[in-house]
Order: sequence, then structure tokens, then C-alpha cells
Amino acid sequence: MVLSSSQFQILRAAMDRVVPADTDQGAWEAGCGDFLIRLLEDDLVDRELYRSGLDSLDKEANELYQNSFDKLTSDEQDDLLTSVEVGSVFTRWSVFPGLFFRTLVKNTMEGYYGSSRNGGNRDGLAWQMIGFEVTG
Amino acid sequence: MSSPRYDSIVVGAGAGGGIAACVLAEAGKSVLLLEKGDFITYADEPRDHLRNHRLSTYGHNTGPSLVGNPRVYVDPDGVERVVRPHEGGYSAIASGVGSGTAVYGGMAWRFHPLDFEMASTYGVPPGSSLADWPISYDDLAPFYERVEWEIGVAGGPPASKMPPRREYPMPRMPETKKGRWLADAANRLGWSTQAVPILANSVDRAGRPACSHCQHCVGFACPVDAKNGTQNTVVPRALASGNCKLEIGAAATSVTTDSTGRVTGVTYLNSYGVQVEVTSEIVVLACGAVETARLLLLSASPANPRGIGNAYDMVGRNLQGHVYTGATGIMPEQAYDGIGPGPNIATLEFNHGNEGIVGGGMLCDEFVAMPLHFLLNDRPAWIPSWGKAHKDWMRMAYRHALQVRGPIHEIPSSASRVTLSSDIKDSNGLPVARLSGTTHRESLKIAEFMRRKAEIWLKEAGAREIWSFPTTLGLSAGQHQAGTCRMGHDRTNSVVDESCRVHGHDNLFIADGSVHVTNGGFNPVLTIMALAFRTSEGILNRW
Ligand SMILES: Cc1cc2nc3c(=O)[nH]c(=O)nc-3n(C[C@H](O)[C@H](O)[C@H](O)COP(=O)(O)OP(=O)(O)OC[C@H]3O[C@@H](n4cnc5c(N)ncnc54)[C@H](O)[C@@H]3O)c2cc1C
Repeated sequence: MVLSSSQFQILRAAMDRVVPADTDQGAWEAGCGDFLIRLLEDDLVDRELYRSGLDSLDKEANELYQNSFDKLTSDEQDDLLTSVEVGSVFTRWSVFPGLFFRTLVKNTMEGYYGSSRNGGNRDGLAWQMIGFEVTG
Repeated sequence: MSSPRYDSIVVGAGAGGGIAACVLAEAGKSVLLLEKGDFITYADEPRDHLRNHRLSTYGHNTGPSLVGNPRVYVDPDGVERVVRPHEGGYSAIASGVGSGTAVYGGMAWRFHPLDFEMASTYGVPPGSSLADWPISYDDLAPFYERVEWEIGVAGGPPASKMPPRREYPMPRMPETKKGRWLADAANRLGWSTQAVPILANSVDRAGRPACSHCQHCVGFACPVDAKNGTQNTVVPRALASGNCKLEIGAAATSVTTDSTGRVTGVTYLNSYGVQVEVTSEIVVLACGAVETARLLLLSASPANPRGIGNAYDMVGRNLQGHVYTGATGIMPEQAYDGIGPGPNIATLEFNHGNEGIVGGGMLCDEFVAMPLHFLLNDRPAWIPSWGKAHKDWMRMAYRHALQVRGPIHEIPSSASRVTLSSDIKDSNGLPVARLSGTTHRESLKIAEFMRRKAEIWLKEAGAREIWSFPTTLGLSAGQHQAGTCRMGHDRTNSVVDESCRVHGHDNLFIADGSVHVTNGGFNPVLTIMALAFRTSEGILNRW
């Protein structure tokens, strides 16, 4: 496994804030997790950045909210991620928080809005959502 | 290993090389056409939005192979990085039969007559190597026409800023909603426009169907083979003549010379990795502007100690491409129609005659955007990069966006150049290309001027929010790479003469983007192809 099961849970929760579910599917349901796991397995993204970044995100949640990241409310998660994005963190991270978050956002978008064949954009629903129609 | 002698060897089967091989072979000359890459087919090219020549985040499917072909890129701060073909700074076109022409968007622009006379029109900006071409628009005009008819261009009449010409063989691509809005807006602004000419079939032609208007044109192989490149026109013609042998997976490693320094042929590694030496009367190089320069530099020998054609240290200099600029706006109603390729209407109002500006550029509407390409490149600063607000924005903006973009006539600099890396080697053990240099300041000024014009056009078309990004410094080369073996009369500051023959080598010619003195305020491929026709006919005339 490229990620531990707890890292996997944090990833899921974080991705679902990057592209939240509403009338249209959220990141996880769209397969962004599968997409990222393939990138990690194929060594196309930095595994240590993810492992360490996800652990740190959870540590940060425990420090600030005494709860693990995936148990926080959506608003709490958004607030925390917004701080991480600008690098304002309270615990010691061994990777740059901003870099980790930008990478997470970029990869989530790549999965969500990219080709279904890569694991994300399940059933082409993201393209349907925005109206990118493939006609030939 | 050595093989039979040919009349001519053409290295590289892309835009220029495909044409050279065809002209020579159809004239009865035996031709060996060497292509480092493979065939590029739709069947082998799985439309991956993260692995293509428009967005190559994790690779691309149409060469150069990601393994064994690095380059060194020196960024504007002087930091050197080893880059792979899909990474920023590499300047990949494609690699294979057709090369860029198999995956391009096919905009088929002639350069403007003044594009050939930049120095005498504007003077030479300090620190630049701006120069006139040794040939004029009129010299090239008949060959532009050959490209338009023999490769196949669809389009309408020229804008009023361009000389009259023979009509294209095919009618323009259908007018789109965006095209109509922009044409009307330009009319109100008093700007001249024309339909964007495209190297693809708008009607069935040459045994291949009309464009199916899919959404994956630029960066991808064509699903119906309606896109006209060298791979489905002149290369098949060359082969049909019976005089051309095409060898794929064949990478030239040097141009060979005899003891007097005269060119005798080339050595290459065939697809089994075996080194082969072939001889010929004539050698034509068409490896693209980066690799042609590299090959000449790799061909140093006692008779040509600095590389072939490089007695005056000119090979590899003046590397240029296109600084791009443009703007995006949100229209009150949906602008998206998904009708590929996309570029429909252009203004040539600002290619020249702009107060205080050296040259200018063309602007036109954009290719149908891959959602990811749009999101990664065109999000305005005030929209968050993630979360509900971002998702809402994508749902609105993707279909409401109207974009105009275009290349500016870049001001070249001799400090932007290709050299050989002193330490990095390719999988064949040969030094790789090292690309260094950055944008000339004058180019930034032109880009800024054109960016404002793009915004004005969108505003007049009815866009509400409009945004654009300033151009940042950086070597432009890229898919429009050119200039590394510049044409000129004076052998001390150019590499080839006006017939594209390498100075001092009566049997060595260059038929790709390398020879461009400047790269025009337009996409370059029609000019590369027209020159390849002219150069090849010139070879035959003297033979
Ligand atoms: C996605 C994309 C879109 C584009 N859209 C447009 C457009 O709309 N309009 C336009 O005008 N231009 C466009 N271009 C640019 C256009 O494709 C290039 O300008 C053109 O292909 C360059 O022609 P060339 O002959 O210089 O080089 P290429 O066409 O690249 O041909 C060079 C060939 O030489 C081969 N080669 C290199 N080294 C060796 C060696 N040592 N031995 C053997 N073979 C070798 C390469 O594999 C390659 O096949 C686009 C390019 C891309 C990639």
C-alpha cells in the first residue's frame, strides 16, 4: 500500500473539500482517490510529500480541534485547509504545508476534470457537469 | 555497417523534412528519409488529457520518448535543470512521421510582407538580433500557395492587411457563434478580420473526409484523418514515387565529411541500435530548430572543429519561438459550442503599424479547451483554486468563457541559444541540447500592447468580466521553435544562405524552422513548409 489506512481516510476527507459534493459528485465519488493512488504507484508524484503531508494535516487537526481531520465538520476542515494553504500552521510539519496543499489541489483537479481512463472523472460526470461534450 | 549510396538523405520527417523528401523523390532523386520517431496514429494515441502535446503533465504519446532524450534548460535566473520531453523548458514539438503536423492545430498563416523586413522597418532594438530576411514575401508567395494546395488549407479571403492571393482549395471552416460575435465586434471597432485558415479538410478532399469538428484537435492525432500534415500528404507521395525509402526509429548522430570538410552523408543509429553510415550527394537536415542545431554541433571533426556550419559560432543562436498573449472574458450567454478545432476569426489589424511598438501580432479565438487546460491556465486571481466556489465557477465559466490569443512577432536575441551540454548525454551517449537565454525586453512591450487589444476586443464583444495575465520572462522556443540556423547573406552572422544552403558546404541544406531569421507575428508552420518547397526546388534547379 502506498498510503496507510489512516492516511487514506485523511486524503478522502481533504479531497472532498477540494471538490465538495453538492448536486454534482464530490472528488472522492468521482474517483480522485483512485486517480491519485495510480500516480503514487507509478511514482509520478512525491510519495513522501503525501505521506508526511497527510500525517501532518491530521496532527494539525488534533492539535487545534482535538479530533482527527476526517471527523471535523466541513467548515472546520475548510478553515484548517485555508490556513495550511498559506502555510500558517501550529504544529511542526516536515514538508512545506503550502506545497503539500497545492499539490493535493492540483492532483485532485487533474483527477476530477481529466480523462476517466486515469481513474477520476467517473463516468465522465465532471465533463457533463461543466458541459464539455465529446462528439467524436 | 554501410549501405547503398543515395542521391539525397533527408533527416527528420516532420513539417519541413516530409516536403523535402517528396519534392526530391518525385523529381527522380533517390531519397533516404530518416526519422527518429515512429508513425503517429490516432489508434495509438489515447486522448489522455494529462498526456498530450497541449497538456503534458505526465508525458505525451507522440514523442519524443520520455526515456533517454533529456535536455538541459537554463532558466532566466541561470539555474540549470535536466528536463525530460514532457517537462517545462524542454521545448518539445513531437517526434515521428509528420511530427508536429500530426498533432498541431493546423493554423495556416502566411507571414506578413513586413515580417521579412523587420530591421529596415523598425531599426534594431538594443541587445537584439533583429534582422531582415534575405528573401522577401514575394519570393515565398508561390511556395505558400503550393503548401495551401498540396498539403491542403481551408479558409476564406485574406484580411485587408495582407496581399491578395489565390483562393484556398477548400472553403473556410463553418462560422461559429464565437466567431460571429468577434467578427461583429471587430467590425464595430474598425478592425479588419479574416477566417482562421486551417490545415484540415473542411470538405472531403484527397481521398480523406472532412473535419468531424471533434473537441480534441490541437495536441492530438485526428480521429478521421482530416487534419492535413506531412504524414498523410507529401510523405505518402514520396513513398509512392518509388524513389524514397523511409526509415523510422533512425536517429542521425552526425553529418559526415571527408578530409577536406565536404559533406559526404550521415551516420545514424537504426531501430536496432546499430550504427549505419550512408553516403549521398546532398544532405538535407530537418530535425526541428533545436535538434538540427545540435546535430551540426555534434558533427565536429578536424576539418570543422566547432561543428558543421559553425565557423563563426552562429549555429544554435537566435533560438526563438513565440511569446503568446491574450485574454479571457465571461459572456452573458453561453459561448461554448464545442465545434473543433475552434479558432474561427482573427484580426491582423495589429501585426504592424502600431505607434511605438516593434511589429505586433495576430489575435484569434481559441481552440476548444480541455477542461483541465482551461482550469490550470485561465483561472482569474479572484476565484479560489479549490472548494465550492471553484466548482461553482467551473460550472459557469467553462461554457461562458470567450478567449482570444495569439503569438507576437518575437524580438530575437543571439544570447538565446542551443549549445551542447558538457555533462548530460542521451541514451546513445551523445551530449544533449542545452537551451539558454530569455525574452528580449522589447517582446514584453509588444505582448503587453497585444494583451490590451485582446481585452478591448472581448469587451466590445460583450464580455462582462475580462482578465489576462502579463507575460513573464523565459525562453520561448517551444512548439514554435525557430531561428537556430538563421538565413543570411553574411556568413559571419548567419548559418545558411538565401537558398538555405549551409555557408561553406555546397551540398548541405536545412529545411526546417531553424532557418527563420525572425518568426513572424503568426504561427510558423506554413512558412516552414513553404521554405521547404522553395529550398528543395532550389536544390533540383542546381543539380
Ligand atoms: C500541439 C501543437 C500545435 C501546433 N499548432 C500549430 C498551428 O496551429 N500552426 C502552426 O503554424 N504551427 C503549429 N505547431 C508548430 C508546428 O507543428 C511546428 O512549427 C513544425 O512541426 C516544425 O517543423 P520542423 O520541420 O521545424 O520540425 P518537426 O516538424 O518537429 O520535425 C522534426 C522531425 O525530425 C525528427 N528528428 C529530430 N532529430 C532527429 C535525428 N537526429 N534523426 C532523425 N530524425 C530526427 C523529429 O523526430 C521530428 O519528427 C504546433 C505544434 C504542436 C506540437
